[in-house]
Amino acid sequence: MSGITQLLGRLARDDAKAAEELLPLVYDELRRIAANKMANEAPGHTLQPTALVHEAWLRLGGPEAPSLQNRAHFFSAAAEAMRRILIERARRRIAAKRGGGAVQVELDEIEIPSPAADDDQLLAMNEALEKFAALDPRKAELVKLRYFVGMSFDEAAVALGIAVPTAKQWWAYARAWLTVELRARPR
Amino acid sequence: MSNSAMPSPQEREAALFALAVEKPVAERPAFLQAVCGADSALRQRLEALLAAHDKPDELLPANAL
Repeated sequence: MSGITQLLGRLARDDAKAAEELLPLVYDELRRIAANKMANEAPGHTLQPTALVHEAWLRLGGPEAPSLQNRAHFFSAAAEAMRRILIERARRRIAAKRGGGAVQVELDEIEIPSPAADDDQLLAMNEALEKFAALDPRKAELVKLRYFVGMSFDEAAVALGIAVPTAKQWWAYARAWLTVELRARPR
Repeated sequence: MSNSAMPSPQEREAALFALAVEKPVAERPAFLQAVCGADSALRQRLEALLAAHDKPDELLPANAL
């Protein structure tokens, strides 16, 4: 098992390369935990993204480096990793559909419930969120934790090291912003 | 994020939205008039955000939870 204590220590010293290294580490760990769980559960069992992320935090040694800043770095990376996992899956499924079933969908596809009604909606939300992140990266982190990881306000506030009322205020704005953005899209 | 510098248009919009959304619907036009003045683009933008807040799509989970 690879500890992230050192990596988080370098992050705290503003080592930009450490941030780059954290994301693939968390991404791989999330996929590994998900694959293990899938192998041990009955088919059709769905995994809870919040539980996966918390397990990754424990397995990667997060509790040994529990400063607020470290937590925020880890959970931001985890939210980004979960976003990628869900977006990649949505793109694969859309490609498979367009290919008329010619493209084989992976059998070990991870069973995580999608936050959207369908894959197209998930991709539309993702695009809107990328636009929002360019303007307001901190509020976008909160949206990622809530939307892709399924965290409650309390969990997301602890993860980001902000107060719960602040999280609720950011969320109200981000939600309104994204709603305006998505309504302006050509359908 | 800095408090010393002038807020960016984005920070200003977010801050004004947070204030407006706390007000009863009936008091919002007067509030927007007071803070936006002649800046009709800002006012339209805040009105659109407030309308979206009051009548959101079900794309994102509700404010509760």
